[in-house]
Amino acid sequence: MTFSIDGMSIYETGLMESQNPVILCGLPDIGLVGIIAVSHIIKETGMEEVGYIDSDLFPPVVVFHHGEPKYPIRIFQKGNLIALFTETALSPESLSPLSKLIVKWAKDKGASLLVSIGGIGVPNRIDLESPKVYGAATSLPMRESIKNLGIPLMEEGFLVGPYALISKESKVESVLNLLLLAESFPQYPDPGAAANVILELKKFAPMDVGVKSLTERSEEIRMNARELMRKTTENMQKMGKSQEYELPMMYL
Amino acid sequence: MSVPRKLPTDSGSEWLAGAMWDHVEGCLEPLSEIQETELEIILRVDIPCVKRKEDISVKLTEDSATIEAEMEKVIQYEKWGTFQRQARFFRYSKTFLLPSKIDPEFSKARFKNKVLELRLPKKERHFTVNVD
Repeated sequence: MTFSIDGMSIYETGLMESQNPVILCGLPDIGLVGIIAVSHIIKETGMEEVGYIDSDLFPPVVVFHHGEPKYPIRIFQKGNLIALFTETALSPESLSPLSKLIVKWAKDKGASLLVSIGGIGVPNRIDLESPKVYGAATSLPMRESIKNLGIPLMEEGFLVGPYALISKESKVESVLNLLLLAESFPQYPDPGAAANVILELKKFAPMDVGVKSLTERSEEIRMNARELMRKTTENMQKMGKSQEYELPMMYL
Repeated sequence: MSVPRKLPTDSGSEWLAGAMWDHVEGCLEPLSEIQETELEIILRVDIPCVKRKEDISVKLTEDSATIEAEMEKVIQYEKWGTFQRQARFFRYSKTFLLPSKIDPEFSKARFKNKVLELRLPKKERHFTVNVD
Protein backbone atom coordinates (compact mmCIF):
# COMPACT_ATOMS: atom_id res chain seq x y z
CA MET A 1 0.00 0.00 0.00
CA THR A 2 1.22 3.49 -0.85
CA PHE A 3 0.29 6.73 0.89
CA SER A 4 1.29 9.85 -1.08
CA ILE A 5 1.16 13.61 -0.64
CA ASP A 6 2.92 16.37 -2.61
CA GLY A 7 5.24 13.97 -4.44
CA MET A 8 6.33 12.19 -1.30
CA SER A 9 5.23 8.66 -0.49
CA ILE A 10 5.13 6.10 2.27
CA TYR A 11 5.41 2.56 0.93
CA GLU A 12 4.01 -0.04 3.32
CA THR A 13 5.75 -3.31 2.56
CA GLY A 14 4.75 -5.29 5.61
CA LEU A 15 2.84 -3.03 7.97
CA MET A 16 0.49 -5.00 10.19
CA GLU A 17 -2.92 -3.69 11.22
CA SER A 18 -2.71 -2.14 14.64
CA GLN A 19 -5.20 -0.27 16.73
CA ASN A 20 -4.33 3.31 17.62
CA PRO A 21 -0.57 2.85 17.29
CA VAL A 22 2.05 5.04 18.92
CA ILE A 23 4.33 6.44 16.21
CA LEU A 24 7.88 7.52 17.09
CA CYS A 25 9.81 9.97 14.91
CA GLY A 26 13.60 9.82 14.81
CA LEU A 27 14.56 12.62 12.45
CA PRO A 28 17.92 14.39 12.14
CA ASP A 29 18.08 17.30 14.56
CA ILE A 30 20.13 18.67 17.49
CA GLY A 31 22.54 16.04 18.83
CA LEU A 32 20.89 13.39 16.61
CA VAL A 33 18.93 12.60 19.77
CA GLY A 34 15.86 11.27 17.94
CA ILE A 35 17.84 9.12 15.54
CA ILE A 36 19.97 7.60 18.30
CA ALA A 37 16.97 6.98 20.58
CA VAL A 38 14.75 5.46 17.89
CA SER A 39 17.58 3.35 16.51
CA HIS A 40 18.16 1.94 20.00
CA ILE A 41 14.45 1.23 20.53
CA ILE A 42 14.23 -0.55 17.16
CA LYS A 43 17.21 -2.73 18.06
CA GLU A 44 16.22 -3.44 21.66
CA THR A 45 12.59 -4.33 20.94
CA GLY A 46 13.34 -6.27 17.75
CA MET A 47 11.05 -4.14 15.60
CA GLU A 48 10.68 -5.29 12.02
CA GLU A 49 11.10 -3.23 8.89
CA VAL A 50 7.66 -2.67 7.38
CA GLY A 51 8.05 0.19 4.94
CA TYR A 52 9.97 3.19 3.70
CA ILE A 53 9.53 6.80 2.62
CA ASP A 54 10.74 8.14 -0.71
CA SER A 55 10.60 11.32 -2.76
CA ASP A 56 12.42 13.11 -5.55
CA LEU A 57 13.25 15.75 -2.92
CA PHE A 58 15.56 13.31 -1.13
CA PRO A 59 19.21 12.99 -2.16
CA PRO A 60 19.97 10.11 -4.56
CA VAL A 61 21.10 7.79 -1.78
CA VAL A 62 20.61 4.15 -0.81
CA VAL A 63 22.22 2.56 2.20
CA PHE A 64 23.58 -1.00 2.08
CA HIS A 65 22.82 -3.40 4.91
CA HIS A 66 24.03 -7.01 4.53
CA GLY A 67 24.43 -6.42 0.79
CA GLU A 68 20.91 -5.15 0.29
CA PRO A 69 20.33 -1.58 -0.88
CA LYS A 70 17.76 0.07 1.35
CA TYR A 71 15.91 3.37 1.48
CA PRO A 72 17.50 5.70 4.04
CA ILE A 73 14.15 6.57 5.66
CA ARG A 74 12.44 3.43 6.85
CA ILE A 75 9.49 2.38 8.98
CA PHE A 76 9.64 -0.28 11.69
CA GLN A 77 6.91 -1.93 13.73
CA LYS A 78 6.34 -4.17 16.67
CA GLY A 79 2.72 -4.54 17.68
CA ASN A 80 1.26 -1.15 18.40
CA LEU A 81 4.59 0.63 18.25
CA ILE A 82 5.72 2.12 14.94
CA ALA A 83 9.00 3.97 14.40
CA LEU A 84 10.21 6.24 11.61
CA PHE A 85 13.96 6.30 11.32
CA THR A 86 16.35 8.02 8.94
CA GLU A 87 19.98 7.30 8.19
CA THR A 88 20.62 10.35 6.05
CA ALA A 89 20.56 14.12 6.54
CA LEU A 90 17.46 15.80 5.16
CA SER A 91 17.53 19.00 3.16
CA PRO A 92 15.41 21.89 4.48
CA GLU A 93 13.33 21.76 1.26
CA SER A 94 12.21 18.21 1.97
CA LEU A 95 11.06 18.84 5.53
CA SER A 96 7.70 20.49 4.89
CA PRO A 97 6.28 17.78 2.59
CA LEU A 98 7.83 15.08 4.77
CA SER A 99 6.19 16.47 7.91
CA LYS A 100 2.80 16.73 6.20
CA LEU A 101 3.15 13.18 4.94
CA ILE A 102 4.03 11.81 8.37
CA VAL A 103 1.17 13.59 10.15
CA LYS A 104 -1.48 12.76 7.55
CA TRP A 105 -0.31 9.15 7.52
CA ALA A 106 -0.43 9.05 11.32
CA LYS A 107 -4.00 10.32 11.14
CA ASP A 108 -4.87 7.74 8.49
CA LYS A 109 -3.52 5.01 10.79
CA GLY A 110 -5.57 6.33 13.72
CA ALA A 111 -2.42 6.96 15.76
CA SER A 112 -3.08 7.58 19.44
CA LEU A 113 0.18 9.48 19.76
CA LEU A 114 2.82 10.87 17.41
CA VAL A 115 6.03 11.35 19.36
CA SER A 116 8.77 13.73 18.23
CA ILE A 117 12.07 12.85 19.88
CA GLY A 118 14.72 15.53 19.74
CA GLY A 119 17.23 17.72 21.50
CA ILE A 120 17.65 21.23 22.77
CA GLY A 121 21.17 22.52 22.28
CA VAL A 122 22.63 23.80 25.53
CA PRO A 123 26.08 25.37 25.72
CA ASN A 124 26.84 23.92 29.17
CA ARG A 125 26.10 20.30 28.17
CA ILE A 126 29.71 19.40 28.97
CA ASP A 127 28.91 19.96 32.68
CA LEU A 128 25.59 18.09 32.76
CA GLU A 129 25.88 14.53 34.02
CA SER A 130 22.20 13.83 33.35
CA PRO A 131 20.55 16.11 30.79
CA LYS A 132 17.03 17.25 31.55
CA VAL A 133 14.16 16.27 29.26
CA TYR A 134 11.42 18.78 28.47
CA GLY A 135 7.96 18.00 27.17
CA ALA A 136 5.39 19.80 25.06
CA ALA A 137 2.20 18.65 23.39
CA THR A 138 -0.55 19.81 21.07
CA SER A 139 -3.34 18.98 23.55
CA LEU A 140 -4.06 20.36 27.01
CA PRO A 141 -4.69 16.94 28.61
CA MET A 142 -1.33 15.73 27.31
CA ARG A 143 0.39 18.82 28.68
CA GLU A 144 -1.22 18.06 32.03
CA SER A 145 0.02 14.46 31.78
CA ILE A 146 3.53 15.71 31.06
CA LYS A 147 3.48 17.81 34.22
CA ASN A 148 1.87 15.06 36.30
CA LEU A 149 4.61 12.65 35.22
CA GLY A 150 7.21 15.06 36.56
CA ILE A 151 8.53 16.21 33.20
CA PRO A 152 9.13 19.96 32.92
CA LEU A 153 7.11 21.67 30.22
CA MET A 154 8.84 23.58 27.45
CA GLU A 155 7.02 26.70 28.61
CA GLU A 156 8.32 29.33 26.20
CA GLY A 157 10.70 29.43 23.27
CA PHE A 158 11.10 28.66 19.61
CA LEU A 159 11.53 25.30 17.95
CA VAL A 160 12.96 25.18 14.43
CA GLY A 161 13.18 22.21 12.11
CA PRO A 162 11.30 19.01 11.31
CA TYR A 163 9.62 18.72 14.69
CA ALA A 164 8.29 22.28 14.45
CA LEU A 165 6.63 21.36 11.16
CA ILE A 166 5.23 18.11 12.54
CA SER A 167 3.83 19.99 15.50
CA LYS A 168 2.14 22.62 13.32
CA GLU A 169 0.69 20.03 10.97
CA SER A 170 -0.52 17.96 13.92
CA LYS A 171 -2.56 20.91 15.13
CA VAL A 172 -4.13 21.27 11.68
CA GLU A 173 -4.94 17.57 11.47
CA SER A 174 -5.92 17.16 15.14
CA VAL A 175 -3.24 14.54 15.67
CA LEU A 176 -1.90 14.30 19.21
CA ASN A 177 1.77 15.24 19.02
CA LEU A 178 4.03 14.81 22.02
CA LEU A 179 7.48 16.41 21.92
CA LEU A 180 10.23 15.08 24.18
CA LEU A 181 13.34 17.21 23.93
CA ALA A 182 16.51 16.51 25.90
CA GLU A 183 19.26 18.95 26.72
CA SER A 184 21.97 18.04 24.27
CA PHE A 185 25.30 18.94 22.75
CA PRO A 186 24.22 21.22 19.89
CA GLN A 187 26.61 19.81 17.30
CA TYR A 188 27.77 16.44 18.62
CA PRO A 189 25.84 13.15 18.65
CA ASP A 190 24.50 12.79 22.18
CA PRO A 191 23.66 9.22 23.28
CA GLY A 192 23.33 10.41 26.90
CA ALA A 193 20.51 12.75 25.91
CA ALA A 194 18.91 9.96 23.86
CA ALA A 195 19.02 7.63 26.88
CA ASN A 196 17.22 10.14 29.08
CA VAL A 197 14.53 10.73 26.45
CA ILE A 198 13.89 6.99 26.26
CA LEU A 199 13.43 6.85 30.02
CA GLU A 200 10.79 9.59 29.84
CA LEU A 201 9.17 8.15 26.71
CA LYS A 202 8.50 4.90 28.56
CA LYS A 203 6.08 6.80 30.80
CA PHE A 204 3.85 7.40 27.77
CA ALA A 205 4.55 4.30 25.71
CA PRO A 206 5.58 1.39 27.95
CA MET A 207 8.25 -0.73 26.29
CA ASP A 208 10.86 -3.21 27.38
CA VAL A 209 13.89 -1.09 26.57
CA GLY A 210 16.89 -0.53 28.81
CA VAL A 211 19.42 2.21 28.23
CA LYS A 212 22.50 0.54 29.74
CA SER A 213 23.79 -0.73 26.41
CA LEU A 214 23.16 2.67 24.85
CA THR A 215 25.26 4.31 27.52
CA GLU A 216 27.97 1.68 27.16
CA ARG A 217 28.12 2.20 23.39
CA SER A 218 28.11 5.97 23.76
CA GLU A 219 31.62 6.57 22.45
CA GLU A 220 31.19 4.19 19.52
CA ILE A 221 27.95 5.95 18.55
CA ARG A 222 29.59 9.35 18.84
CA MET A 223 32.35 8.23 16.50
CA ASN A 224 30.12 6.55 13.94
CA ALA A 225 27.58 9.37 13.74
CA ARG A 226 30.07 12.18 13.13
CA GLU A 227 29.42 12.60 9.41
CA LEU A 228 25.63 12.52 9.77
CA MET A 229 25.93 15.05 12.58
CA ARG A 230 28.05 17.39 10.48
CA LYS A 231 25.63 17.28 7.54
CA THR A 232 22.70 17.77 9.89
CA THR A 233 24.42 20.79 11.45
CA GLU A 234 24.91 22.31 7.99
CA ASN A 235 21.22 21.82 7.23
CA MET A 236 20.17 23.19 10.63
CA GLN A 237 22.14 26.37 9.93
CA LYS A 238 20.33 26.76 6.60
CA MET A 239 16.93 26.50 8.27
CA GLY A 240 17.71 29.14 10.91
CA LYS A 241 18.11 26.86 13.91
CA SER A 242 19.79 29.70 15.81
CA GLN A 243 16.33 31.20 16.36
CA GLU A 244 15.89 28.65 19.14
CA TYR A 245 18.18 30.88 21.22
CA GLU A 246 15.88 33.88 20.82
CA LEU A 247 13.04 34.90 23.10
CA PRO A 248 9.47 34.91 21.82
CA MET A 249 7.90 38.36 21.66
CA MET A 250 4.60 37.59 23.35
CA TYR A 251 4.31 36.69 27.00
CA LEU A 252 0.93 35.55 28.22
CA MET B 1 37.02 28.54 10.78
CA SER B 2 38.59 25.12 10.57
CA VAL B 3 41.23 23.88 8.22
CA PRO B 4 40.16 20.61 6.62
CA ARG B 5 42.79 17.93 6.76
CA LYS B 6 44.38 17.01 3.48
CA LEU B 7 43.58 13.52 2.35
CA PRO B 8 46.31 11.34 0.87
CA THR B 9 46.84 11.97 -2.82
CA ASP B 10 46.46 8.27 -3.70
CA SER B 11 42.72 8.66 -3.23
CA GLY B 12 42.81 11.00 -6.24
CA SER B 13 39.16 11.91 -5.83
CA GLU B 14 37.85 15.39 -5.29
CA TRP B 15 34.65 14.04 -3.78
CA LEU B 16 36.68 12.79 -0.84
CA ALA B 17 37.87 16.30 -0.03
CA GLY B 18 35.21 16.76 2.66
CA ALA B 19 35.82 13.40 4.34
CA MET B 20 36.40 13.40 8.07
CA TRP B 21 38.84 10.52 8.03
CA ASP B 22 42.26 9.62 6.70
CA HIS B 23 42.63 5.84 6.61
CA VAL B 24 46.31 6.02 5.64
CA GLU B 25 47.31 8.00 8.69
CA GLY B 26 44.67 6.39 10.93
CA CYS B 27 43.37 9.83 11.71
CA LEU B 28 39.86 11.23 12.24
CA GLU B 29 38.75 14.84 12.08
CA PRO B 30 36.80 15.60 15.26
CA LEU B 31 33.48 17.41 15.35
CA SER B 32 33.90 20.88 16.76
CA GLU B 33 32.14 24.13 17.51
CA ILE B 34 33.43 27.64 17.97
CA GLN B 35 31.66 30.23 20.07
CA GLU B 36 32.84 33.83 20.13
CA THR B 37 32.08 36.22 22.97
CA GLU B 38 33.24 39.78 23.52
CA LEU B 39 36.28 38.66 25.48
CA GLU B 40 37.08 35.13 24.40
CA ILE B 41 36.77 32.37 21.85
CA ILE B 42 35.43 29.07 23.16
CA LEU B 43 36.41 26.06 21.10
CA ARG B 44 34.85 22.69 21.94
CA VAL B 45 36.06 19.49 20.28
CA ASP B 46 34.34 16.11 20.54
CA ILE B 47 36.94 13.37 20.98
CA PRO B 48 35.26 10.11 21.99
CA CYS B 49 37.57 7.17 22.75
CA VAL B 50 40.27 9.45 24.17
CA LYS B 51 40.71 8.49 27.80
CA ARG B 52 43.33 10.70 29.44
CA LYS B 53 44.10 14.38 29.26
CA GLU B 54 47.76 13.37 28.90
CA ASP B 55 46.89 11.99 25.47
CA ILE B 56 45.80 15.38 24.20
CA SER B 57 48.10 17.96 22.66
CA VAL B 58 47.00 21.56 22.14
CA LYS B 59 49.22 23.96 20.21
CA LEU B 60 48.21 27.59 19.97
CA THR B 61 49.33 30.58 17.98
CA GLU B 62 47.64 33.97 17.96
CA ASP B 63 45.57 32.86 14.98
CA SER B 64 45.17 29.11 15.26
CA ALA B 65 44.67 26.11 17.48
CA THR B 66 45.94 22.65 16.61
CA ILE B 67 44.45 19.70 18.45
CA GLU B 68 46.01 16.23 18.41
CA ALA B 69 44.60 13.42 20.54
CA GLU B 70 45.43 9.74 20.84
CA MET B 71 42.60 7.25 21.31
CA GLU B 72 42.65 4.80 24.17
CA LYS B 73 42.81 1.93 21.71
CA VAL B 74 42.87 1.40 17.96
CA ILE B 75 39.39 1.47 16.47
CA GLN B 76 39.25 -1.03 13.66
CA TYR B 77 36.57 -1.35 10.99
CA GLU B 78 36.74 -4.49 8.87
CA LYS B 79 34.84 -2.88 6.01
CA TRP B 80 34.85 0.87 6.31
CA GLY B 81 31.69 2.19 4.63
CA THR B 82 31.30 1.86 0.89
CA PHE B 83 35.07 2.03 0.78
CA GLN B 84 35.00 -1.68 1.83
CA ARG B 85 38.56 -1.72 3.12
CA GLN B 86 39.87 -2.39 6.53
CA ALA B 87 40.42 0.89 8.30
CA ARG B 88 42.11 1.56 11.61
CA PHE B 89 41.94 4.82 13.49
CA PHE B 90 43.92 5.77 16.53
CA ARG B 91 44.05 9.55 16.72
CA TYR B 92 42.30 12.83 16.02
CA SER B 93 43.88 15.84 14.40
CA LYS B 94 42.64 19.23 13.33
CA THR B 95 43.91 22.79 12.99
CA PHE B 96 41.43 25.60 13.49
CA LEU B 97 41.84 29.13 12.17
CA LEU B 98 40.49 31.40 14.87
CA PRO B 99 38.10 34.27 14.07
CA SER B 100 40.13 36.78 16.20
CA LYS B 101 43.67 37.00 17.51
CA ILE B 102 44.06 35.36 20.90
CA ASP B 103 46.51 35.47 23.76
CA PRO B 104 47.87 31.89 23.94
CA GLU B 105 49.61 32.55 27.25
CA PHE B 106 46.36 33.03 29.17
CA SER B 107 44.36 30.31 27.45
CA LYS B 108 42.77 27.49 29.43
CA ALA B 109 41.77 23.94 28.54
CA ARG B 110 39.69 21.26 30.20
CA PHE B 111 38.64 17.75 29.20
CA LYS B 112 35.30 16.45 30.41
CA ASN B 113 32.77 13.93 29.09
CA LYS B 114 35.11 13.30 26.15
CA VAL B 115 34.88 16.92 25.08
CA LEU B 116 37.92 19.19 25.03
CA GLU B 117 37.04 22.79 25.78
CA LEU B 118 39.48 25.64 25.12
CA ARG B 119 38.84 29.12 26.41
CA LEU B 120 41.01 31.48 24.43
CA PRO B 121 41.07 35.11 25.59
CA LYS B 122 41.07 37.63 22.79
CA LYS B 123 44.17 39.72 22.39
CA GLU B 124 42.16 42.81 21.58
CA ARG B 125 42.15 45.14 24.59
CA HIS B 126 38.91 46.45 26.02
CA PHE B 127 38.44 49.66 27.97
CA THR B 128 35.51 50.66 30.14
CA VAL B 129 34.34 54.24 29.79
CA ASN B 130 32.47 55.86 32.64
CA VAL B 131 29.26 57.57 31.64
CA ASP B 132 28.97 61.02 33.22
